[in-house]
Amino acid sequence: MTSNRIVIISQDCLNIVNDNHIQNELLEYLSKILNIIENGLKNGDYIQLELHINPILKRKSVLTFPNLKENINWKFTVYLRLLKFIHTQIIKGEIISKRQLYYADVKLFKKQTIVDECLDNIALSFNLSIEKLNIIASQKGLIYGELSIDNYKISKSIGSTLIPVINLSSSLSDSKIIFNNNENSSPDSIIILEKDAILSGLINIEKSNKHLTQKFNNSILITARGYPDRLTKHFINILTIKFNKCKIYGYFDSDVYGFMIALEYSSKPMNNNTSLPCVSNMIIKGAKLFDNNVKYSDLIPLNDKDISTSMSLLNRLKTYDDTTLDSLNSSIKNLQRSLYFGFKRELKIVDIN
Amino acid sequence: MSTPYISTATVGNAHKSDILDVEVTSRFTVTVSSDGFLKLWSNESSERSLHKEVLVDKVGLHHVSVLEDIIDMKRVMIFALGSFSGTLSLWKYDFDTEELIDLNFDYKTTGLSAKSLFWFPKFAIGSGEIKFICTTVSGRTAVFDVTVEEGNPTLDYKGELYSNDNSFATCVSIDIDNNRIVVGHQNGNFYLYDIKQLLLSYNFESFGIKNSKSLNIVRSVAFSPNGELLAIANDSGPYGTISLYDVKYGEYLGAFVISTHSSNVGVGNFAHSKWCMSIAFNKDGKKLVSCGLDNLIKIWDVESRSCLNTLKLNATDLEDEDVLKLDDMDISACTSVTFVEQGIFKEDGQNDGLVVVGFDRSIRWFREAGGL
Repeated sequence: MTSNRIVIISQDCLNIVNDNHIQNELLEYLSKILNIIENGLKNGDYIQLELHINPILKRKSVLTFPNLKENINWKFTVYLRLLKFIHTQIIKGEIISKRQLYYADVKLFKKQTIVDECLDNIALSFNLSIEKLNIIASQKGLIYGELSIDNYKISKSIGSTLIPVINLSSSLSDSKIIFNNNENSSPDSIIILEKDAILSGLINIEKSNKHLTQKFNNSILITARGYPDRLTKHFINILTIKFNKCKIYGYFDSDVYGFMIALEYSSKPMNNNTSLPCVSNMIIKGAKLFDNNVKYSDLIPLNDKDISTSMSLLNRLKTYDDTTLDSLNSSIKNLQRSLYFGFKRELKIVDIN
Repeated sequence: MSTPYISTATVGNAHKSDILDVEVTSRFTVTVSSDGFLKLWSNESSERSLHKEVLVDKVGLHHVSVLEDIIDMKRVMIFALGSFSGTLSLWKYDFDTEELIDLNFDYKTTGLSAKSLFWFPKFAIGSGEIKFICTTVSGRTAVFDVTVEEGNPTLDYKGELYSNDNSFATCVSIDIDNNRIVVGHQNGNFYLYDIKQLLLSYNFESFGIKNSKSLNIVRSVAFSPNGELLAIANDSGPYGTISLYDVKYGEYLGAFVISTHSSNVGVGNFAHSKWCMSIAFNKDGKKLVSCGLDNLIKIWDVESRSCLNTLKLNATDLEDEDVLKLDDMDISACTSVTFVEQGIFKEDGQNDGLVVVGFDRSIRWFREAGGL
């Protein structure tokens, strides 16, 4: 005799009294629902998995297993696998990265984005950050400079290093950051680059110029390699609070994607708990579409996707307030000109000044 | 015969950003800019004082077309404006109140079924009919019939011009008396259609340097006033070329080229050493004007295809305080140029006038010297 079993993933299911109890509470609830699902599977029951992704907007996704649709069966399996992973990670008390999770079962997950999306949905439903599920985003950003964070040393001698893992809910006071081995010294500038190709190019130039004055001697160079991840953003945010007097420059491609990446840093809220962006005072320098140094051969024709993405970005910008728009003035102008002429340009090392 | 052109008026810092298009009506010189403003400059005043301005779209405007006519004994002036966000706006000038009024254009009311990203708008007035054309970034061009009642236009979607070419449709020119329309594309192709039947008559391929990296983007197209000739400005690598075609037989007639005595140029047969952004015929069709990113305006004799005159623009003719407001990106590159019919500016007398706008945020008016 088959029956229906309903499993709900929602923040209402957890009885969180204080922060210290979250994991115990979560562990208990996960054990309970995994039990229900596994017993259900053995019985051949219908299992309904409900994710209350946004209780206010009443956004929820419901998966019924087994299902006639193959896609839903697969999605259910993905969620079940992830829930089991989270469960084991919490029992073991170990932290695992999203990337590692993906490699644990590539055949099932198919794509990294699937893991990211489903994990986000689970975390959102519980109204917890994914770190609370003992999962961290994989490190993506690179840093170059003389810096130490607590006991972790970043040195120029080994080239660029991955941005160290720090707790995403931590603040400046939680870690001790020292620049150039001197408690009182502060960098002249923090330079944010769009791509690691530019970063490694700059490092090579600096290394080959050993006897000359080093341009970035007193700077910290950071790249998130494309769109910034939360860790890179959080790290940059902490750095800018620590070294609040130094200038922050951002260098991006002269195209719509470069602009969108710049907005990730300068205008988009950093996370769900704040409306503040990662670095509101970043000076966007980037590649200019036309100035005296631009050769025709540097220009790349826009394709259809570039054009429609540019236009929809501009459409979105209409909702921004005038002060923000003013601060983005030169980037907007670049984008308008790029649309008007039908060309874009990528950042070159010579643009870094 | 070439006569020099002299400057009649200059307005510096006319907009806060690049001025991308200009059109002259009987009463106003109309400009649009990346700063999102539509501005009307009074033709009557010798200083060309600002008559009206309105913020149409925060993210900037790039093209304007004006419909000016007397319909049912009522003066009508309607502006079609293309914005960088891919939307199209219609505004009208109310002659009684002298105000600009937003007509709240909605593509749904025209019969157009799906939303498109619009680019280049153009009105055309023929005998007893008014057409409105707008290109889209997906290569299709929408054609509308326009009826005006009580000064308010109604657009009625007739169909689209499409030649299986999805390349961004950058510009159009209409010869409504002969039912012809030409559409230029980003990939360098341009197509001649019959505007009544919405059918393709000819397709052309552009001349100039070709390789996968450099598109021969068509920047501007223009029919001669009698409808017999078609001029096309397109990129040729970093250069700007202008070619002339016969419309009736679709034949290539030749290119407008600058004469050179040097042996190392001449391969591309170019008209401007940088991209040529805009071309226009004068009223009798004997002259063609072109302007480009090389900061030059060139006036050509259509018959011989030789350059009669070259005007070099630079910021030195602007007021110092206006120059100070420019930043390093604002060179005097010209984006749009057009001839002004005789009689619009009193000081032009019986001569042709010119108006040009560009990245240095200024509007410059010129006229042919002598013969007043």
